Amino acid sequence: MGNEDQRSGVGCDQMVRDHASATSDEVSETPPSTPEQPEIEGKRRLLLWVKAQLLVRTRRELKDLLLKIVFAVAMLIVVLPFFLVVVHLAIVGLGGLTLDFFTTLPGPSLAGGIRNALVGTILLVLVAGGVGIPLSVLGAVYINEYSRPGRIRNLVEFASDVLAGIPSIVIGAFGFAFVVVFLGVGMGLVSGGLTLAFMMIPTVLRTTQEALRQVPVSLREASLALGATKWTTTWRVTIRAAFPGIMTGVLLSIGRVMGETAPLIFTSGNSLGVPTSIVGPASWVASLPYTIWAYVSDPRPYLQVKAHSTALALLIIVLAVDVVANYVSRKVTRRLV
Amino acid sequence: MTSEEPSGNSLLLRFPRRIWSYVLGGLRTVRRVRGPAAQDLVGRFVLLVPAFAGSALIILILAFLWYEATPIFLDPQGGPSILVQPIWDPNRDLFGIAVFIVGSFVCTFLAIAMAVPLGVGAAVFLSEFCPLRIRTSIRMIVEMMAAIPSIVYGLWAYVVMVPWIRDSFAPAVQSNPLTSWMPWFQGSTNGLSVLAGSTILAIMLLPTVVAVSDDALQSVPRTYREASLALGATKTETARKIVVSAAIPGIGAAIVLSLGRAVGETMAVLMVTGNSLQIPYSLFDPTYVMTSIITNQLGYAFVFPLWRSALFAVALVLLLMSISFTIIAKWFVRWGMKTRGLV
Amino acid sequence: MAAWKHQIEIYDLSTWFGPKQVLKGITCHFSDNAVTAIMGPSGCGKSTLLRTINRLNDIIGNFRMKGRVLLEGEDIYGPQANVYELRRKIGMVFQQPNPFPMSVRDNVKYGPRLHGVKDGNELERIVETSLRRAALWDEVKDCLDDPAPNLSGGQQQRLCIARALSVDPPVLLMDEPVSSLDPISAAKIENLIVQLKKDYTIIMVTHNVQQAFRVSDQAAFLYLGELVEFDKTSRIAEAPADERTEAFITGRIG
Repeated sequence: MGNEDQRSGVGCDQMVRDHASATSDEVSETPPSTPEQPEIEGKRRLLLWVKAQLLVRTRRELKDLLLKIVFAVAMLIVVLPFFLVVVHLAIVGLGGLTLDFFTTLPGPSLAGGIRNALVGTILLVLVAGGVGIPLSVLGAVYINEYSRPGRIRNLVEFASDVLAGIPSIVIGAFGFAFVVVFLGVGMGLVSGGLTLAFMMIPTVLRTTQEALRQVPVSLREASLALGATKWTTTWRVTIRAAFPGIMTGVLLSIGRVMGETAPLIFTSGNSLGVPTSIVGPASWVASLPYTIWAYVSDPRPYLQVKAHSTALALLIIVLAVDVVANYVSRKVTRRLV
Repeated sequence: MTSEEPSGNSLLLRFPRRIWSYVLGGLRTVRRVRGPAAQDLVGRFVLLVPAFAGSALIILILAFLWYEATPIFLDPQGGPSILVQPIWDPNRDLFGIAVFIVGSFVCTFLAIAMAVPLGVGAAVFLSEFCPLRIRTSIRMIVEMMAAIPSIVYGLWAYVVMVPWIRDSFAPAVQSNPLTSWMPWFQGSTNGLSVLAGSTILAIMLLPTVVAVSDDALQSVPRTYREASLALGATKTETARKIVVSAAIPGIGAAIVLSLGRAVGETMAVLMVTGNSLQIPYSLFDPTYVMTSIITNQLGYAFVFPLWRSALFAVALVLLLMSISFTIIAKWFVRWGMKTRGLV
Repeated sequence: MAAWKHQIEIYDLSTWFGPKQVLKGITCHFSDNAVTAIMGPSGCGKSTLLRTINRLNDIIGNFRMKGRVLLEGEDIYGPQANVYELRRKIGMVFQQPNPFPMSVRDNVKYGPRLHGVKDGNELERIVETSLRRAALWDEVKDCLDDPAPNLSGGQQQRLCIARALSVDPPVLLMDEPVSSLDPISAAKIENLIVQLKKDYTIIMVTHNVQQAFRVSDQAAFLYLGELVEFDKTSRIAEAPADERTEAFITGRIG
């Protein structure tokens, strides 16, 4: 036990949190004033706590209590919309989430399912990831491992921060003007995927950089001391150690990109079927967000319902991806500690 | 890497000279190295390309937008004054984009005014007063809220919030004598309004504001709180005067970045603001924001050069604004840290 | 309310963090206007005792206590006790200097402002008085508006002392105030403490035996949560009554 536990009693906190370490001969007296039967007394304890809070005597204490209430209310207001949105989507759209919904195409009257949108989103994410992930991961590796800290590194970091903040419609307009028209690729899978890649690059680059930075220098040094080249060290040691962090960043940006509509409006086209080619008119591809947008704008009531079901499906998929990302990131902290 | 210049350097401009000598130096080294060192050299050059992809991209975007937007700025009918002209009528070749700038400004300002106090207040609760078990659950919910796609928020706002404003809120507020005189509550509405747009924007900004502010507050060292409490401060006094104040650099950056996001938000705002070319004077008036006009009209406008150019001018304004916000946020963090002696 | 003999009196104090007992049945009275050192090997007891006196342990969720702690005759854990007034009367200096990330001036103004001093001139007067008492005025009088963290370690700690003094507390608690400082700053602050005892009751935790002997008038030896010995420092130094005390003083246990 060093000096740390003298500082603000933190060490005491740590020590007593592992109850297992308390040996029997140390605890000679039992602590007083804890309730006799904790379960039954739970409600009474809550009441006592509320009473204790209300025991204000001075103006300062009153102000303290009122402010605490204000902060708590702010928290409630912040969380409220989540439940409002999810509950509403479930009420209107849950009924429509049948197996048919996911496996059939919409058909000419749009009365069918959303298989086109589902497949479309997956394909778009594949294209976007296929281009964006290697570019940003490799780029981050270069910046963090090879470049000297200095103007170039600052410039690239600055550029990716700025890129991350660009509105999605501006990226969409750029994708349209540059990829679709200027490069002549035309609307479809490639253009849509590339535009989405533009959105992925800055976030994946930054998160990869962070993950690489977390890897302790001693790991790299140990590898180099054994005679490995920088290339081998980077790939076999550093990236392997940073892999969960990189994976988290990749997953989070995939989740984000799945829900983007604006970049796709002018670049992916739309389709009632599954794309049969990579470029050209046959490559026009539907996507989940675009479908929601199209159905909501349509006056037919059954499409309004389908829009809700699609939104619910999209929400579930995106949240699932996020949960996986969080799980991976928690595995990181456990491994590095 | 020596600074030997190639003999024909009079033909080169000053800037490429550095790159040229770098490349030449690299080529000379390549001839000399063998084995593992070659591997490293190749690796370095191979990785160079993707590294510059990011910065190249942004320059490309800037360049392209500038290229597309220039015609309207140079046109005698347009020119830079379109930024303040209020009339947008492509049929008559009138391309004043002031309406959209005002619309974006109003919605953004209101959204920030709602989101920042609520978000920071909630973050203070989360960081200073919330029991640990509840805290993890709430953080999880907040992160899920941040992940909800904007089209989904837009859908909910369009189907639930807009009718509510039309059928419940507006009538209630306009018939109640306490509020019916207020100038920002005037006007009849079908729900598609500044109020709807700014509220859904605020809802979308809140999770980020809460999460970033909470992180900033949590990173304030515990010992400051203890010193404050030891002087006899209450928990809220400590939270207000010490913790929040110490976290201002992070919180401020979150606010500025939220500004950027608010201005650039597309789908949700598009669906609920009504897209009217009038300048709004009441919360219940519809409005048109910059992102919406591009989304609505770029498809049609593409074949008309002047119209298309005007829309790209709007996109350029958006781009410049978001670049400015990023720069301001970074500068603010540096200033905040310096005045607190934390740097 | 009986007339009190000492400002701080402790009767049979025991504390727990969860199921683990940290202090066991401590009874002692701290002399007024003197320096009392609480010494002992590294462990939770010393700081816990100190923080119990100004109720700073309240912020730790699973803290429980039994016994009585009296300030000027009144139980500070009693139902009538006002914890904010208590903390105004008891100042605290921490092991790591922790000036607030604001200017030097604002650091010292913080306490008085909290407790109702609004007048600008009064606040300025308090700033100067407190900084003089902490032997820091001459070094910072020209840069009162500079951020406090820019000061050196020793200066920061003296600023923390000035901050604690700004509300004029009769009692000062110090948790190993110089252990993180270089020897020269440490010596300056030890001298300061000896000066301050004329006007304040000082209770100081230290793990450095020599420092306890140099600075304090009374000493308490805490070992594994028990108060083993409590007497005049000079007597303990010459002839410790308990063998554990002697083991500690001579360095056999640490």
